Amino acid sequence: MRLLRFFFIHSLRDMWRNRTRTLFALICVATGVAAVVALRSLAFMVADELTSNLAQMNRGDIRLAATRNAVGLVDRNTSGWAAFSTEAVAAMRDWARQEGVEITVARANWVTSIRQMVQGQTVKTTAVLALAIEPDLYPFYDSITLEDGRTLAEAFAGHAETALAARVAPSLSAIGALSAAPGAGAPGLAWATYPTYRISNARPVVISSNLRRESAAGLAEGDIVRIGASDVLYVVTGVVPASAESILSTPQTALLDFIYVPFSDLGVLRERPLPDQVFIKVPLERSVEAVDASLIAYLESHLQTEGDLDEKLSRITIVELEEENAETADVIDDMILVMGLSSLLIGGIGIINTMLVVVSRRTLEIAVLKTLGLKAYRVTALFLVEAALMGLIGSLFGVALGVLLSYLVKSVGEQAFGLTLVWRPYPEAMLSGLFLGMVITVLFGFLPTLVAGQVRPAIVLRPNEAQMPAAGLLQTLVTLLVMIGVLGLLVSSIVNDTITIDPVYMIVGGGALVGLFLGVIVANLGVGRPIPDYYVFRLPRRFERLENWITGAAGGVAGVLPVKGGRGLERRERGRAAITLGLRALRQTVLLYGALALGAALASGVMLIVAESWRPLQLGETKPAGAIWTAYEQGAAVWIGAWALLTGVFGLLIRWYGRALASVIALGTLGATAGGGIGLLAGRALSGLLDGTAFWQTLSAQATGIVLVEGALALLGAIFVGYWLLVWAIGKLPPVVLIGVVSVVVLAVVAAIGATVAARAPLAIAAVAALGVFSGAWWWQRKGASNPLPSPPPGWRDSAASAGPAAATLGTVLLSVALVLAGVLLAITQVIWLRWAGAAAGAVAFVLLWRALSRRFSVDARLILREMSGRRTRVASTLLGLSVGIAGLSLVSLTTGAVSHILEFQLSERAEGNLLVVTRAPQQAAAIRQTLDGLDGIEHYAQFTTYRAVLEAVNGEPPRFEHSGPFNFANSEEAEEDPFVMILSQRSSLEELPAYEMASGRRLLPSDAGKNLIMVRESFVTAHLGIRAGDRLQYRFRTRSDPDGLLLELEVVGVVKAQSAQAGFGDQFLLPPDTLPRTVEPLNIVTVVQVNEEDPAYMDQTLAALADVPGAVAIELGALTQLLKNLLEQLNAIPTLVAWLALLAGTAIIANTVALATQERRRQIGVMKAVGLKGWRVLGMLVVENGLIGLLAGLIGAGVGLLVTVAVVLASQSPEQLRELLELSTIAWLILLGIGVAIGAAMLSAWGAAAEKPMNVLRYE
Amino acid sequence: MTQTNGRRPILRATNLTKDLPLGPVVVHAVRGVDLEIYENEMVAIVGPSGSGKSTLLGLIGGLDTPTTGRIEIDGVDITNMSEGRLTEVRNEKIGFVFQFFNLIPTLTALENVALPIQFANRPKFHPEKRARELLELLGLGDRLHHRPMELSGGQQQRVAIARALANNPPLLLADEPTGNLDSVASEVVLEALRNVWRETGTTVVLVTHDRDLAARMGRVMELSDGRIVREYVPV
Ligand SMILES: Nc1ncnc2c1ncn2[C@@H]1O[C@H](COP(=O)(O)OP(=O)(O)O)[C@@H](O)[C@H]1O
Ligand SMILES: [Mg+2]
Repeated sequence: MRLLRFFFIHSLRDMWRNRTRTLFALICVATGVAAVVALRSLAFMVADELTSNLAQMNRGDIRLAATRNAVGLVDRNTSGWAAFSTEAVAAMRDWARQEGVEITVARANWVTSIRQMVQGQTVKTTAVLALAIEPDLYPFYDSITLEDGRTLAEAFAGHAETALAARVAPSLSAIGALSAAPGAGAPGLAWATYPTYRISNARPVVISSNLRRESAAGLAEGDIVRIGASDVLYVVTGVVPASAESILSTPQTALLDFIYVPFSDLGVLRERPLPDQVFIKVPLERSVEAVDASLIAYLESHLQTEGDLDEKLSRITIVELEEENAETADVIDDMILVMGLSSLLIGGIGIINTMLVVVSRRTLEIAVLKTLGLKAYRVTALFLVEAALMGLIGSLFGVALGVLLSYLVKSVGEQAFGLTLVWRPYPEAMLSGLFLGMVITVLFGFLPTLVAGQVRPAIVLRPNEAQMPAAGLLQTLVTLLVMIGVLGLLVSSIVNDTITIDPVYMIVGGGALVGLFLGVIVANLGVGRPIPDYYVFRLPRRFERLENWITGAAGGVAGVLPVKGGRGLERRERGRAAITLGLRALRQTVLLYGALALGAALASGVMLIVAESWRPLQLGETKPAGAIWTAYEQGAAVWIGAWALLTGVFGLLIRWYGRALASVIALGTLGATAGGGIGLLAGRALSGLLDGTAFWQTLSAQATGIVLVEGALALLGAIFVGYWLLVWAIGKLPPVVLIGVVSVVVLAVVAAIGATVAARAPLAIAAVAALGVFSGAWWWQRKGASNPLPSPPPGWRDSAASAGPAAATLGTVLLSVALVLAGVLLAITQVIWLRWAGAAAGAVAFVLLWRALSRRFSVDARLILREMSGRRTRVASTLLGLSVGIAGLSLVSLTTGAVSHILEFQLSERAEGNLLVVTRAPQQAAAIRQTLDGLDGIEHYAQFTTYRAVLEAVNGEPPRFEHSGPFNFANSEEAEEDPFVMILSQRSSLEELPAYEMASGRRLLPSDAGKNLIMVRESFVTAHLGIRAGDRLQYRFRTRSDPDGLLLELEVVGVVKAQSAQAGFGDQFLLPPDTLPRTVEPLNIVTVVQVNEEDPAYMDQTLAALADVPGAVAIELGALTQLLKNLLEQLNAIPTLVAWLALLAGTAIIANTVALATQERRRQIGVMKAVGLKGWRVLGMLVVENGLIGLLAGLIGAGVGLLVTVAVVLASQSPEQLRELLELSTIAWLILLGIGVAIGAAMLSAWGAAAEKPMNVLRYE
Repeated sequence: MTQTNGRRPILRATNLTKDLPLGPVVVHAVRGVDLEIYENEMVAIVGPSGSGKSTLLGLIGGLDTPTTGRIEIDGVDITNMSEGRLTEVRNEKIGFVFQFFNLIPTLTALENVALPIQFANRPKFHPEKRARELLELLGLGDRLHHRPMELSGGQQQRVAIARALANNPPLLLADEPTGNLDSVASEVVLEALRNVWRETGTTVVLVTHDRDLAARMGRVMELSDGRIVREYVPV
């Protein structure tokens, strides 16, 4: 207890003494925790919304929906949609009266059009969802209020004219639109100005507030409208907020704006007055279930139903809804929590880094404590207390921040889920944030503190050589295993039973981890002998002339390059240096590649052996002997052979000249693979032995989380190693390369700004001219500048090699900036040769800047590179943290961009038209053709019919979806029993099909009409079903006459390549015309129309004309595209939020890393300042170093997004499309964002470091 | 007192004081020091630990600014110079050698020595060539590409001396250069310093608490409690 108090006080004092460091560590934890708390609160807000107001959401206690399954209840004559028959409704009403419950009916699936009428003419036609309701009853719970506070019932009450006159007329007269009032009292009637129509004809309609937008219908209260094909006039008597119908109450409203019409008006509107929804309100004291059962019993006894109506009648009671929504809320919560964890894990990196520094800074103190008798585990405990304290304080901050943040992210949630959310603090979210924050900090802080325990007391004797000890590999392994266990249990509890993974894989992962460590341990025992770090190119004496010749030539070449190192050296010496450098780089590459190749080759060897040993060991009947070998098949063996040979050579090289790194990689990989293989064997053996026992079951329950953690760790580990190697390789680059990169970035930014400003051309030109003159002045000043220093020593070439006065460098920088700006101005002209001149100016500017900066700043660049590679572990982890956020953002933004472009493209360019007309009945299709034929401005149109069909057999066998891999999604079994429903389409003519690229078979030809053929397009589905040309597919179609439908066998005439051109809609499964008998019921009939776009009047006229065809809905493609884009944005809201939060955590890491690095480098910075480095250059170095990290993170992050986007695009589009679909500006922005975030975060702590007092070098701690 | 033996003073300080805040109290680390050091002298400042030697060295080396007083280096008044100008002066006129070597760990010996030349506004030497020459002069010709970690303490200190000499400064300041070395290495470093002094004509100011060491310099100033209490030429 005493000890613990000592620990606490000691830790607190240490944290306070290093306030800056502590602060940045706390920020890391806090941002992560804040992300968790905010996201979790969001999930709870959604859950609240989902689970409260259930009856309101359900519009009643029981909600019935008409489906075809409910035979006996649905009307047989509706085409394409299901409605309750008149008898069924009557029966329900009887039952309700008898039962004493309330009932109301509605139709919620009627998509039609609304036309605004002015002076008897249609001015605008818009597609809408018309909700036909009984205004006095709907909804049963919590009435719908109009924007002006009236209820829905009031808006429909009485006659439209009296309802409206008092309300609208004053406002209309105010704008002078009204003539004098003919009636008493009321000042005038708006509609009296329309000569053709009489107001007394108008009926009331209520619209959603969205329809008021100009981009939608542009309607206002008081407007005269027509609905659908009916010529009855309606008047808008009220506007309800768009939120009156939510995605939860009426999902269709997510896609279309809605209007309310009285159910009793359906007849007038030329629609059959049949409902597809019935809402029932149960009195409070009655049980909903009992009422539900009574309804089913009543209907079964009074109507001619078939089968179990309880099962077949689709309905939702609030009891079920509650369960369902609670489940949904749970899933959302889990999903969001997992996403939030990513931010917290990034924050954890900050803790690792901080604790490592804490330990390394205090090695001496630890050593002293140890000589005084403090045991190793207590040292570890001491540091763990500090980590835990930081975790606690950071988490508390994080919770506070998270609660604030949750208020801000509320709107994101509203957008994503289409709900109105209510914010409040959620204690559970706060507690979980606190808990997770603590757990992660302690877990992540543990490894470094383990290191602390390893400090040898002997270092007290040589304090200035105090070095970080390496944690024992074995201890690290044990820690990792424990960490995996703990995190695994945590994850297991989160994923619950959504996924289950075989515990064998858990053992595989554990085996791989143990193997990896064994490999590294063996490598550390000293395989290979290190070669000296420096090596100079030199041939034996005999070849002196040859050597001179080679070095001379190389020196000549090197002299031309702006490499500072070689300047002033004698030519041959320079050549020797250059060759040496090249050879060294080559050797490094060879060694690294060799190590990787060796590891991989050995790994595949082990895999092969394991695969072969399956059968002899009787461990897995599922895998026949040689399974992996056969997978390699087809020439792969040759590659493996070649690889093995190459590997042999490199293996020997490594053996002789091996660096520790190379052998660690090679043996580590080998160990991991072997361990994994052994784990697989052991796991299978165990599962064979133990399957069914209680122990195995407990193991299985926890395995999923552990495998997920192992997988995540493996992935992160692989990425981390990749970054580590990358940083290592970058550290080896010559400084001029770094300066080149900086020059490019600077000039690119200048060019981008220039291009933006260039819009205001005169200003820009003036600026460039001024800048040019200015820099020219500097340039000249440089020439005339007197040299105040003694003439340079002999052998030292003059100004060409010396840096020259600072003014000259500045002058050159300004000149190159001016050149680039001029180049931009030239490049944005349309003249091709001017553009080339602009590009040339840019190139010249680059060379100028590069040379000028190289001369002056190559030391700085070298210091930066050395610093980075000296701290590669931390730089790599920082890079990891930052790149995750940017990768997330780029994934979201690039794919969204590409997908919405594809959508637009598909819809506008490939759709063969700009207007879609959807109908459900074949007669209407004919009416549409007739209407279109009689209109002006129709360029062409095509009609096709879609059918819903169940695939029953492929070549006589029932279709089967292959399931593979370790993942077993909980509901996949149900999914397998689901029928294979497909949407097939049939074109009215095959004449205009595009030139398809076929994967197999041939395309459909006009002569195929009437034949039982089908052409399919490659897709996920066809790939899994393995469909090829010549296959016979059996489909069951729904028909009007036969309840069993019609079974039809179609032969696959050809398979179209996925990337091939597309024909409008639905050539996924294409049938020739006249193949199906007329009795087959279509899903819908789509007419794609190309309307003349030169005069918008054509479109208006067409829309108006089509609105006259009953049952037809015309939608402009532009509107549809917008709709889909909105939907896409909605889907992306949460991932975008998470990516931003991850980026925030990444920023915290960068700030933390810089704070740590500058603190560690205080002495070094002091020394450099003492020997003549100016403060701004220190700052510059820190900025460039972190800017470079940001640039790398940006490049990698954007690259990830780019790769995925390219993959997505290529899956469905031709490669030529790529350039159009990729948003290059987004990529540039992401990279800039990376640089900006890194530099910004670095600045937070770099100011202090740059101002470091050089006096500190004379003081020793 | 401006001229002694007709030699030019390379460093002149008058009435230097330095007060350092230490929590609520103020430490008077240097209390009114006057000193003059001439071209090609080898001077020791000796005094017990805590007597203000390092503080004084920091002041005359332009690492810190005095509370009161005036400092002139090579005829230039640095008392009220901006930090930027001071940095240039340090770079051109002063070489530093520290007790704990203070080499940049990520750079090789050669790169460490080349550093001050590369930091210069207008370099006077070819960095690598000069660094190579200096390291060879100090007997480290075969250690050019070694990192500080790969060198012994004595070797590190010699690299530090080479670095201090990189820009051929008129003044070399050393704070306990042998304080962290064993007797053999100390001897080597001291010999190196004497060599440098002889061959380059640089003025050397060496700070130490070791009277025997001080006695081997050309002139000794004894510091106690921030004041110069004695000044003598050892025999
Ligand atoms: N940063 C500082 N803050 C306060 N007092 C200091 C500081 N540095 C040194 N001192 C005090 O100044 C006096 C002189 O220190 P210093 O010049 O380092 O002595 P020496 O180098 O002779 O051992 C000492 O009493 C020391 O405690
Ligand atoms: Mg001292």
